[in-house]
Amino acid sequence: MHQGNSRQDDHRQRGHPSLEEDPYEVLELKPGAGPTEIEEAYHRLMAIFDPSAPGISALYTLEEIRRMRAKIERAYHHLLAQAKGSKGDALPLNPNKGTLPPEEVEDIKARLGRLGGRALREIRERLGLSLQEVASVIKVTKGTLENLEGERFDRLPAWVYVKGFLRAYAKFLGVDPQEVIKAFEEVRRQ
Amino acid sequence: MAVLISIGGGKGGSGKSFLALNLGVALAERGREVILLDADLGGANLHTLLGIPFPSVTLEDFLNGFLPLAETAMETSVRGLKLISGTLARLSAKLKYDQKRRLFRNLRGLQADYIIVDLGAGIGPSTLDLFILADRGLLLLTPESTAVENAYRFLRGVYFRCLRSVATERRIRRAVEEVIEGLDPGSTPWDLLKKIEDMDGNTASKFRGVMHSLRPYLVLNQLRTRDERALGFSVKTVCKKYFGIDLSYIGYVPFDPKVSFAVARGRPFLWEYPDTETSRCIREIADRMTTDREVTLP
Repeated sequence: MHQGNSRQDDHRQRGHPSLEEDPYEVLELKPGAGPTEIEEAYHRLMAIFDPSAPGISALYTLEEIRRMRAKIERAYHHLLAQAKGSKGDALPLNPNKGTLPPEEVEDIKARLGRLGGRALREIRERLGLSLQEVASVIKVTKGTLENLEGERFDRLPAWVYVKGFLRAYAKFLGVDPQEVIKAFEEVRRQ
Repeated sequence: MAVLISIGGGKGGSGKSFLALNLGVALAERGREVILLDADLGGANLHTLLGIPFPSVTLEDFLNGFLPLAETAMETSVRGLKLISGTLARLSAKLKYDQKRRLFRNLRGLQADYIIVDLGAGIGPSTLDLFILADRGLLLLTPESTAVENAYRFLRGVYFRCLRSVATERRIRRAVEEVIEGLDPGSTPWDLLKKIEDMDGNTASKFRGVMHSLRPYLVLNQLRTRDERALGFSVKTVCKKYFGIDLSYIGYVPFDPKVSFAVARGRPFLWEYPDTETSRCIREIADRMTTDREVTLP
């Protein structure tokens, strides 16, 4: 077992260019892929290299599948961190969809009276983002997002977590997280 | 010169003869001259699918030296589609070395737009060689895990056979043989190629060139749900990562119980049931083949 591993590692270190562990190649992505694409590719590849996937056992040993999954995992975390890092923390993570102009956000806020769940939903829909797309980037389930937008506190976890979700969601949509949290806090107190 | 397409995939009953015939019909409908060659040595039945129970000439007549290959191609009920029937009374699925060489040489001399070779099941040397020799091999599989396994094993056979054919140097040949004979279990193509690279970079790059030019087609057959279409992309990914082979996913065919009726009547499914989803998908494969496109799902 141990010997087998060291033989593999030995090969890897001396590896040749086309077989190098290029994270884009591992996830079958083109450089510049956005977080949503990275997320989708990751799930697709993990399903393909599942030990129970059809036919896979004809080519790979269980150990090789395990190694392949670790490789996919590494590539995924690397690319995701890169995609987030290069955009800077203050900027939204959805570069393709951009953000709404400030006056449009003000408009929604004025109409609804506050920057709460309904406002978040409206902004999301105007940006053409599905719940799934948001969910996969900010690492919150679709159900949780729906509950956030519906302000259903009875179906959400403790407030400290909710605050975290709201911060991520607000940032993602390009609106002020503090204002969103404040709006939710007021409802929660009632 | 004709485009030579060999349909294989390892598993019996995945529909190789069915696809060979109906793809041939679809191409003939598009005005192409097509020759079908039944190379399922020992299990030939393309003639039956075309309603010819006792073909008067067969591939055997060529193999025994009685007729030139072109004269074994018979007209069929389908305009533009000729058939070289498989041998009927053959017990051995193996071709002698000189028979194989003669067949391969003469195949290239046939006058047609497309030559479609229906390979038998299994990974026998003649079967693999006919797949490798083709301009495009066509890997056919059904969505069962057993069929996917066999398709992978088939490609594994193709891979190592290609590798052996470019490995002329003795010690490289021995390393390849060891893997083929199972003496070096757990050795992936990646490991082997690495090893060869260390021994002789020239052979390794020659081999990469061969694999790069292989580009087999991939077709899924007998799909029961629409979701199963996605399997084509998974197989493509696995083959790229494991072998470094680029498959070109050119189509899928839904399961249709009426196929057995067409077989019983000895008429192409495409003629008997032209307006079914299954026929439409086969025509799409012909279209993708002629325009060099792949499947895309929304």
